[in-house]
Order: sequence, then C-alpha cells, then structure tokens
Amino acid sequence: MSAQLSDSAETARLLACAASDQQSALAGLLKHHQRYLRRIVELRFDNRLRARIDPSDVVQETQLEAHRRFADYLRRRPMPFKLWLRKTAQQRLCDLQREHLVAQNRSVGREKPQPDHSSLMLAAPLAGRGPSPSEQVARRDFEQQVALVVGELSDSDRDVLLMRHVEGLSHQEIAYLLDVETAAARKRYGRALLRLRKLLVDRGLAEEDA
Amino acid sequence: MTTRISPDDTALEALLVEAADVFTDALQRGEHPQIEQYAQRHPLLATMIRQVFPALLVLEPAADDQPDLPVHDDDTGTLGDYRILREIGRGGMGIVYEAEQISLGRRVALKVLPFAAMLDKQQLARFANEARTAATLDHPNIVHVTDFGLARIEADAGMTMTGDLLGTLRYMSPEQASGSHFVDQRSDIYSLGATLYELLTLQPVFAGNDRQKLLRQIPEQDPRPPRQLNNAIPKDLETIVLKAIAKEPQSRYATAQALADDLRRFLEDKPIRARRPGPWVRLRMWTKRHQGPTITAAAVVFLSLAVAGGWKLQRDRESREITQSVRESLAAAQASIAAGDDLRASTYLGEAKGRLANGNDTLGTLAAQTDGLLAQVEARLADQERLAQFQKLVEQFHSHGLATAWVVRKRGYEYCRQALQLYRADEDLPWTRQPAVENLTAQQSEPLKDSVFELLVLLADWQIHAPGKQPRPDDYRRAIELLTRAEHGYAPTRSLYQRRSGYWSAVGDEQAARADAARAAAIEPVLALDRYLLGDACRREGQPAEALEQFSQAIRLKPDHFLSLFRMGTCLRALERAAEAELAFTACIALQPDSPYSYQWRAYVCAQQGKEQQALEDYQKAIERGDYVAFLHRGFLHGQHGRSAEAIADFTRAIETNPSSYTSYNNRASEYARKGKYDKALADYNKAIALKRNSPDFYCNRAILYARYKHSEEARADFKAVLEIDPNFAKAYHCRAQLVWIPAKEFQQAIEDFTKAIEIEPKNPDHYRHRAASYAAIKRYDGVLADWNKIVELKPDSAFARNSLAWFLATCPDPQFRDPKRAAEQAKKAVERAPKNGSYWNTLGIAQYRAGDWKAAIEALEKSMELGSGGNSFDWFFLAMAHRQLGSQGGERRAEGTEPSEVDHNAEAQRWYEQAVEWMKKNRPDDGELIRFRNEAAKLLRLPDEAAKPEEKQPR
Repeated sequence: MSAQLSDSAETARLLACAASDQQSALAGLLKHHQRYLRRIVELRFDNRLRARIDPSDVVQETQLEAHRRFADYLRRRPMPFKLWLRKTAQQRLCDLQREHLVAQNRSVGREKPQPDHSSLMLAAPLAGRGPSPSEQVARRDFEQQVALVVGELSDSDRDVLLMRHVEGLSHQEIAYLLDVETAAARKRYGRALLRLRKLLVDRGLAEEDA
Repeated sequence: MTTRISPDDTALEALLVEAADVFTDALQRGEHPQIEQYAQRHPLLATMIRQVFPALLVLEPAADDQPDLPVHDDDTGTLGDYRILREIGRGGMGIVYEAEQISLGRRVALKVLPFAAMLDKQQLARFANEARTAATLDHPNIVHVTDFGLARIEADAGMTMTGDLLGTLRYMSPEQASGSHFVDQRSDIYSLGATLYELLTLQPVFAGNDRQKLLRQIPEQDPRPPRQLNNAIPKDLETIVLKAIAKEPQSRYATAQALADDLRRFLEDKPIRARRPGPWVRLRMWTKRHQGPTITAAAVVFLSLAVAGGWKLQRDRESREITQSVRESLAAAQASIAAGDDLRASTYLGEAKGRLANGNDTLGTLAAQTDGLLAQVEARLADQERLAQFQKLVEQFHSHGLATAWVVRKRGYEYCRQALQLYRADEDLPWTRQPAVENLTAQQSEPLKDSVFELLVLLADWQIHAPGKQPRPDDYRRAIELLTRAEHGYAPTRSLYQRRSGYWSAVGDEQAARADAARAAAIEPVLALDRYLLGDACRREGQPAEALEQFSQAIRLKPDHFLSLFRMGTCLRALERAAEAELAFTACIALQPDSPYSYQWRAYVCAQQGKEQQALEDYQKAIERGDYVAFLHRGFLHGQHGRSAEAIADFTRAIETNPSSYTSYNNRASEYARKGKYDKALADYNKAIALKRNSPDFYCNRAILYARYKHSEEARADFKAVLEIDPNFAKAYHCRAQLVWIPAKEFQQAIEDFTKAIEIEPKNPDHYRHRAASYAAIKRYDGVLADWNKIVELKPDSAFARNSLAWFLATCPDPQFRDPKRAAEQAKKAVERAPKNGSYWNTLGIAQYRAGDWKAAIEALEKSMELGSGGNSFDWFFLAMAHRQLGSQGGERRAEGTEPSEVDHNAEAQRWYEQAVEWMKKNRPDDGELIRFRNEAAKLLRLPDEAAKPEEKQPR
C-alpha cells in the first residue's frame, strides 16, 4: 500500500480495534461506510438487474462478503479499507451481472459495470431542496440536464468526476485506483472540470463567459 | 466529444481544483456552502465557479438523501415500521425476530445480520433511533427476503406488444413507464385513476398506439383535465381523478382505500379531503396474504364512478332508485372490506353490478364497461387465492417431506401432487399458457414457476427413491415423464438432465441417456434447485462435505430455499459442526415456523453442544407441532443428564402416542434398570423384543440386566441368542465375558470372548484392557504385557494407558516380566500428560526405585504424597526402601570418607515403614500387592517379616 494512501482517522481507529474485537470493529467500519457503499452500488447498478435484485441486496451481500474476508484483509492489508470495500462491491456486481444476465442468454455488454449516468437522474431526489413545487420542478429539470451533460463527457472525464463527487473519494484514492501519481489525478480532475464547464455553457445550463 | 484546453486555462485549472476541493470537502462534511460566497472569495475564478459549482451540487448526494420514516418508540422496541415481538433464533449468522408490521398489522419475520447480533433490547432501541436518522429499512443490518406485493413491469425493448399489452400500457404509471425501480402500490393508484379518467371522459388519459410515444407522454405530459372534455363533470370529481393520476407518487392517494373514501365523500355530497400521502416506505418481507383488499377496494371505486357517471340521469326516478340500491350494496361492500372479508365484498359488488345492468341504457353501458374490470378483479382475487393455497401446500410438503419416518414423507408427497394439480402442471401445457398465472405480477409468477419446477423434479425423484420398495421400470418411466414435463414447461437445467439420463439408463435406453448426459454437461447449474439436487446426490452417497458445498451455493442463489437450508443443517451435523448446524435450523424455523422437524434437529444439535436448556425448549416446540418422536429424543436427553423421572415420563408419552415404538420401550427399560427397578425394566425389554424380534441390541440389553441381577442362566441364553442373530456383535462378547464369565471366575472363557471381540473390533482398547485383567487373574503375564502394549499403541496420548503399562512393568509379580527402565520411561510419559494425578507419580516413583534411582524415586513419591494428601502405603513402603538404600550407600560412603549424609536415611526408612504397616493394617490388610511390598520392604530393612506371623493370609 502506497505510503501516501491511508485510511481516514476514524477508519484507522476502527481497524486498530480489530485486533481485540474483530466483530465490532467490522460492524463499526461497515456502519461508517454505509452511505458510501450504498452510493457506489447505486452508481454502478445495471438497470437490467432491477427486476430481480435491488441495490440493497448488493449492499448487504457486499457487507456479508466483507465479513467473510475481513480476517484475510486484516492480515494482508492490500489497500485502504474504503477502496477494498469498493472493490468487493464491484466484484459482487460483476458476479451478479454474470449470473443473472448471462444466464438469460442476454449479452452483458461491457465486462465491468460502468457507472450509468442515467442512474444519476434517479439518485438525486428532491426531498429537502427548495420549498415550492415550481422550484422543485425547475430543479428536477436542471438535474436531469446536468446528468445528460455528464453523460456526454468522455469516459475518463466522467469517471473522475463521479469518483470525486458521487463516491466522495479523495485525490489520493482516485490516484491509487487509476494507477497514477496524485498530482496527475488532480490534473485529470481539473481537466474534467474545465470540460464540464464548457459543455454546460454550450448547452445553456450556465451563464456565458463575462 | 473533446474540448480543447487552451494554455491560459492551465493556471486557472489548478486554482479551480483547489477551490473545488474546499467546496467539496465542505459538502461532504454535511455543510451547506454558498456558491456566491466562493465566487466572491476568488474573484479570478468567479465566473467559472458560478458556471461549474451548481453542477457539482447535483452530483454530490444530498446530506439527507433518504426519506424520513415515522418511528414509534415504545418499550417493546421498534425498528422503523416493525415492532419487534420476540426473538426466534440467534447466532453468528444473525438474529431472526418475529415482528409486526405496524402499518399493515401483519406478522412477519425479520432477519438481522451478524454485526448487530451482539445487540440486546436496549441497544436495539438505540439502533431504532439511529434508523430514524438513517431512516429507511435499507439499514445495513437488515436482510430483505421476498416480496409479493409490489407491481413491477419491466419496460423492456424485447417485449412484443400485443393488443392487450398496449392496453395495459395506457394505465402504466409514470415511474413504471420510465423504467424506475421505485414502484409500489401507488402505481396501482395511478392505474386506477387512469381507469376512472377513462370512465368519466370516455377517453384514455393518453390515446394512441405508438408505444414509444406513450412511454414518453406518460411521465412527461400533463393530461387534459376531465372538465375540459366534459364541463358537466363536477369539480370535486375532477380533483379526485387528477390527484390519483399525479405524476409524483407522493402526490397521489397512498392507498386505494383512501381514494375510495374520497369518492364516497363526493357521493355523499360531503367536502372531499385531499389527504397528504404518508411517506413512502419500500418493504420487502415474507407474507402469506395477498393483495386482496387493494383490489377489492379498487372495484368499489370503479362502481362508485359508474354510479357517479350516472349522476346526470338522477332526474329519472328509476335511475334514482337503482342508484340508491347500488349505493347500499357498495356501502356493504366497503364494510366487508374493512372487516377483511374479501369474499363477501365481492358478492356485494356482484349485486351492485347486477342492479346497474338492469337499469336503463346509459347505466347499462356503464355497467358493461365496469363489467370487464370487475371480471378482472374477480379473476385476480381467484388467482391470488390459488397462489396462497399453493404456497400453503408447498409448505406442508416441505414440512412433511423432511421427516425421518417415511409414512410422513409419503403424506408430504401427496401435498406435492395437490399443489401441482392447482396449476395443472400435470398436463403438458407450457407455462405461459397457464391461465391461472395471467393475473399474477412478475414478482409472483417467477417464484411460482420455480416452485412448480422444483416440485416436478422432486416428485420424479420420489418415484424412484420412495423407500420400502425397489423401483421398477414403470417407476422410471413415470419419473422421466415428470422430468420431461418440467423440461417443456420451464427452464432446462443441469440437474434435470442428469437425473433423466440416469433414469433412461435404468430402463435401458442408453442413447437417450447419453444425449441427456451431454445436455447436462453443457449447462451450468444456475438454479438453487440444481445445487440442491446435486447436494442431495452427494448426501445420499455419504459425502456430507461435498453436499454441504452444493447446499451453500443453493442458498447463495436463493437465501430462502428451505430444503437446502434444512439439508445444510443435517450435513453440518454429520460433519460435527453443531454450532453452524444450529444456525441453519434456526433459519429453517424462521422460514417455516410450523414445521416440527427443524425444531427437532435443532434440539439435537443444541444437546450436542451442551445447550441443554435450548434443546429442551426446542423439543417442546417440536412436540407442540405434532412431532411425537421428539418425546423419545427428549427422554434420551433427560436420561443423559440423570433425570430419570423425566426421562421415563417422556418415554411413556412416546409409547402412548406410538405403542409400537420398540425404541421407546427399550430406552425406558434402561432408565428403569438404572433406578434398580428390575421388574419394570424386564417387562419393557420383553415388550421391545416382542415388537422387534430380531434385534441383537434388545437381547443384549436384557442379557445385561439378567446378568447384573445374577440370573446367570437367562443371561447366558440371551447372549447366545444375540450372537446367533449377529455373530459380529462385539459388545455381546465383551459383556458376556465381563458379566457372566468373570464373576464365575471362568477366566479362560472370558479371555476367549474378549479375543473374539478383539477380532471384530481390533481398535477398541476396552477389549484389551479387560482381557489383560483376565490374563493377570490366571497369571498369564505375557498376555498382560502384550495387551497393555497394544493399548498404548492404540492410544499413545492416554496417560492412563501409559501408567497401567508402567505399573505392570514395575510391579509384576513375576520378576522376569519386569522392565524397570521402560517402566520409568512410560511412567514419565504418563506424568507428563497428567501431572496432577498422584497415583501416576506413585507409579513413577516405584519404577524409578526398581531402576535403582533412589533419589529420583523419593522425589516422585514425595510428589505423589503431596498430590494425594499425604499418600498411603503404596508410597511409604517404597519410600522406606529407597531411604534404606540411600542409607546403606551413605554408610559405605562415610566409611570411605567421601560423602557425609545430612539426612538419617535409616531412621527415615524405619519411620516410613512403620507408618505404612499401620495404615495397611487399618485400611487394606488383605491387599495382595501391599503384602508383597511389605515383605520386600521388611526383608530390605532386616526387620522381622510380618509374613512369618501365623495370622498371615494368602496373597490374592
């Protein structure tokens, strides 16, 4: 594990507790990462699976898997816990896709489940934002448009934006996942921001340059 | 599409990233940073910030991104919409609770995952509070199981659109049309509303035949208000309809009942109340009730509308009368719904409908329009009823099919057949042509289909493996027929082909067998049933580990596959993993709380883990559910813990419920024997033997009883009988030797019998041990040595064995068999393994004495005395001798002038000798070994030999 990339303070504390009480340390870790896990599963959830499985199932199965392999993780510590959890979830999604979609003789498309930008439209609810219905409607429109624009970005731009903002990963974590230096990851993010800006302006979703 | 980045941008880019990082961090901490503030803080970046940051806000999840759930907080502990009633079972795999779903008032089971397993009631209440903030049942620790209630239509590109389907599409809710997964009963409300709209305006909400267009219009386009199409429609009615077909689910009525209520108010000229719909909760759980009330309420709504549609004709007195009586029927229907009596409700609905049809043309038209709906409703009711019946039958099948008694299993398979008949699976109709499934949702018909498939395969299996008979060719053919039906109607699977291949072979059609084998090899096992059958095959061949792997896979595919869970439990038990077996049976209980066998098995594995209290409780539950064999098992458990009275009571109950249970008689007899009630014990053994004539065990037990009470002739006769039935019953030989020959001092006979036992069970050390004793009795010391050597070979870790061997080698009356060096070695090993056992140290001391190591002998003997609270003559004689030896040695040394002795060994020797003699006189005057030791000691100490005294008794 690279020296720059470490667990958050809370995660590190919980991992330290695992030496004496593995069960409750893991319980704490999973609780701490629950939102995050939910988010990454929702993000990568293939819509065709929805008739059979719910993202909650995947979340819980991932947690069970984590439970099963926690002792091994503790021993080997291949990567920060959050990223390990992320990897486990991705594997689970892959397995599920293979199981359910391939078994029905449907083509899977790409091997790895990619974040489906359309899921962003569903993932962003209205609750708690803007009091009046008209503002709600306007907001919903904007969100849909933004999701469409994000969909128009290149895969690598979109990936880095989603990792940063939907998954909430740090630059170091993103660097680890993309296998580049942290500085390079920052640059990629910056590029993506600029390209996003250009598209938003072009589509009339942002004010023109002054 | 790529956008070029100019060189100017690079510098700004880095700054932008920094600003974005700060903004993002704030968001992720749950704060609400203001974009405008950031723009003002970074004037250079202001424009870019205003352009980009709003989009970032869209990407970032809202801080409170999950809807709030009303939680009732009371003493019993609630979890969201569930009131926890009691724990059903607990273990590392999680806790299963029985709970009540508050909003619907029904009983469900909740499984909670392991890391919450440490929580007790207080923590659970706290956990519920946390759930309030986390706020849905998507809590990490709750496992969802199946869901029969939600309507989901998969808007799939591959679906062919028939006219019917297009018709259904018109009533599809916006969320369904946009392929959302947030679909629930409010989608039903939308469909209802759309139908009402059509009834009122005589036009669908969105017309047209273009599917793609419809799918776009439904979520996006606002429908024309009904009054626009017909300004005679009352405003309140329009409000109701528009509310029902609102785009947002939360803007609609929450239930069909709510919609019906508002309609009723309208009909009664009361002000309608637009109720705020409750927060939406997505539920997934086990439930045995169907959607009846929702559907029937819908029917009431339709007819209310029909009545309302006839409002313009109320000028006509006839219509008014009809309207009145229809209203009365509707009111009665509503009352029935409220009382949960769907059947009665549909009768009243039929009445109302009939009246409408008798009215004038317009009413009649309306009645005809609602006719179709009502028929649909009734069909759905019937279908739901059938589904519920099917599920009940399957449950019975599972429950009985796992009993050990095959007559019970046979009954189970009757249930299986009945279940199949419900869906005419005994006819060769492809699944989609089954009329009974048309009105089921995909959510219901998929598991149903899997169930039917499973039943067919298992029934086929039963043709062949029903015990008590050899399968004949006809049985195989019938099995093939069943499997072929399964193949045609449902998905082909590996296990199906494998089995059918076997059956083809059995009837001699090798070509078909090979074809099926090839098909089997070409498919991966995908269904839980596949894995289950593979596992079952392993189980039958006595490979529990492999079976377990398959069952585990089955459960991964389908976590509520009862059969796999049950079998997993039995395999785990066979592999002696009792704790895990317990969890498996707990899950079985949660799935089918009425099946007694899960409780019975769980009791058994609890008993194995020493969890006696749980075992007793579980046996009680099994008994309550009709498993009377549990009396037998529980009685056995009582017996093991010495509770003879309870054991006897249970065996008596077992006998009462099953008077031909010879096992119960046998077991009760053993308990009576233990309590010394000879007559009762004998009577029961006689009964057991009468019921099962050729059981060697029962004869053996009775023989033992006879022998213990000195009825030696009868004992001999019974032992003879045993060995005639089963010449390889080692226990009989052993018991006869021990209980008949040895008391009669017929040691040679005993040795013969022990030898026979050894031939049959060469690895059983008990046989050797007792034979050695018999050899010793006739002074065949070669035999004794050989046997103890063998025991040590069989049980190298047994301190007892080592010690016994050492004792023999050290103290054998015949000195030519003594081997002091080896004795000391073995004694040391014994002591290593059991350092707290005083007599082992004693053996060591004696062995070391014999080996000439006086000092070591004294140490060992002192240790023996320390552990034995002072010791006894077995220690002291040798202690005396050892000291004497040291004394002589010391004397020599003093004479040579080399080593002064600090201890007066001779005095010690004397002292210990006297003490030993005292003790022996008081406690063991006749002990042969002690007599020998005393003589030896006396000789060494040059004391008058006690043996010279006239009252000397013969050594044993």
